[in-house]
Amino acid sequence: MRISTGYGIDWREGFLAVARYERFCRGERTETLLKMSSPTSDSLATAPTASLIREAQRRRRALAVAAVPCREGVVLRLRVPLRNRARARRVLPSLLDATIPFSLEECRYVIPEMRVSAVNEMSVVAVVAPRDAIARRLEALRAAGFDPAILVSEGLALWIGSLAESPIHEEPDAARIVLYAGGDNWVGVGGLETEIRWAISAPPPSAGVDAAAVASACLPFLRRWRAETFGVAKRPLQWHWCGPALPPPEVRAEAERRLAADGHIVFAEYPEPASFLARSLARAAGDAGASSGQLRCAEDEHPDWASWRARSEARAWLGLATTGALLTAVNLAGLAALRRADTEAGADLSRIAADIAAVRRAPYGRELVVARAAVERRRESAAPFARAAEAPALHALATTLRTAADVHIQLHEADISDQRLLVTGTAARTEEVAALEQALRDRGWTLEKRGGTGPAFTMKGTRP
Amino acid sequence: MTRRRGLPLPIIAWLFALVGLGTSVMALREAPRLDNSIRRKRMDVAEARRLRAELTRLDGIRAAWDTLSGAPLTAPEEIFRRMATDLAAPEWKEREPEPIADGWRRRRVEGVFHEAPLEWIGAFVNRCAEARPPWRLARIHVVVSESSRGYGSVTMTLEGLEREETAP
Repeated sequence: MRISTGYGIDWREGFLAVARYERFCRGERTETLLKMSSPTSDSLATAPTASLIREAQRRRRALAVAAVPCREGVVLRLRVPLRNRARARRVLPSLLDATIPFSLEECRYVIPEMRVSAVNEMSVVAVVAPRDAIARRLEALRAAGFDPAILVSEGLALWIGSLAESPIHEEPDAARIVLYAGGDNWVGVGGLETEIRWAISAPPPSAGVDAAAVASACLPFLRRWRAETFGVAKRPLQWHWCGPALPPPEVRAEAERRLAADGHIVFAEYPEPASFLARSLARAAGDAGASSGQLRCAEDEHPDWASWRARSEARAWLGLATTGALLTAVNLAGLAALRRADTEAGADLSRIAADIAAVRRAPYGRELVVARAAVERRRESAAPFARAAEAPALHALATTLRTAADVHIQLHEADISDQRLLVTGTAARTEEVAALEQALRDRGWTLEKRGGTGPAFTMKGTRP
Repeated sequence: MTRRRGLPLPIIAWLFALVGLGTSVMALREAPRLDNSIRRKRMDVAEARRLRAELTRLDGIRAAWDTLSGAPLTAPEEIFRRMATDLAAPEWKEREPEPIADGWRRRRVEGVFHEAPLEWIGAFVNRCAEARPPWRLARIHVVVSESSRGYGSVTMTLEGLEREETAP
């Protein structure tokens, strides 16, 4: 089952790429739908992808995402010396105002990431873009036939896409640069481990590219990386190429040799590099975390974005309601089960007590009293019969006579009743008397006293 | 428009959450009380079952006597005679019968054997116990004779139950 769909639109001067991201119950899929060099307004209007997006938007089935060019804004990581998020948010505008090259009042800024990084310090990623640049970008996209619900920073989208397509989390202290080679400008995004550190743009190499020009165009990114990660990065730098205007492989190979001359750099290229940004943007549409860098102003909110937020909000409320309902159901069911068990135990007790006392219904709370009284009455009336069925004196007599004959005890006298016993006699050895004692004990007699002088003995016993 | 449509959901969600919380508090307060009550009642049920088992045992004892269907006790003299011995007849003395529950009475007979083989005395007492209704040995006093081994004078008390109306 499909959970969410997103379209990423990488549209810039001379290039258009569209990708689709789909998230299912089990897994996700990202695919490139369209790559077009030098698109014209006619070709854009007739492109099947544009109508696909428009249809999906009309049915509120998907979010379309486009990027605000990196040169139009700033992506930066700040260290705020506070642990409290609300306080950090309050002081952040002052910090940003002092850091960015624009007036913050004319900008829109978002904070896609804010987390405690060290003792009394918070690590914050801020994306800032002037409002008029955002408006211009939106107008240009609309003129091309697209109305994206989300606008995100190009640099942030590239970094999130890079982490999604080649995870970095298992390599501590790993540093990475993602270089997007566009026709109009090149964008470099740098980071350490999973943290984005910076995103800058630079002019592309001049026409008729050679290795020296490519290496030269890459130098601003390398310098920024060295400045940001000096003494921190301990592993080789991972350099990932992407973008529609990548230099030819042989030129790039030569440029890579030049760049790697003064440092250990491992170069790689993403599959389908031209549509990498489009894929990253599409992924941002399907991932609530990635779309947290939404730059489109609240005053010009897209209906898709509004309904997506409403759905997210509704899901959160439904989660709360479901939890409450489940809690109620479990508690009520548990109490009902306990009450039922209590009633059943009470009914059992009442039934057994009534059965014992031979009454229709035993009084509540006095069931055991009634049952005990009934059994006591029956015990009294049956006592003579029970006593008549027992023969302790007979058994004691038989045991005494048999054991005395077996172990050669000379009996003198035996006085045996139901509860008392007195046996006197003579035995050659104490073991013989012990054998008689044991035989009587086995019959339930408690022998209180044993005495006598020499071989003669007297045995007294009782039983309950 | 969207906001107006979405407004009840938070209220409903909070209501559900509050009801869930309320029932949790109720369950936390009620469950230990019910648990104690169930435990106590189950212990009482176990005690009541034990009492019922005892009642069944007592009824079984009583039923065993009822199956004798009112037959009278055989007199110990008669049992002695049936054993066809050449011993001197013992002296028998019967006490006044003692009435007990439901038309039954207890008879008590005391017999004195002056000189009898102890083995024979054991066999006689067994024969009395095997009679229907049975006699039971309530007390026996044996004084072994010094002159002849295995002989002695015996005083015994026998008890037996029988229905009053069947008594001769």
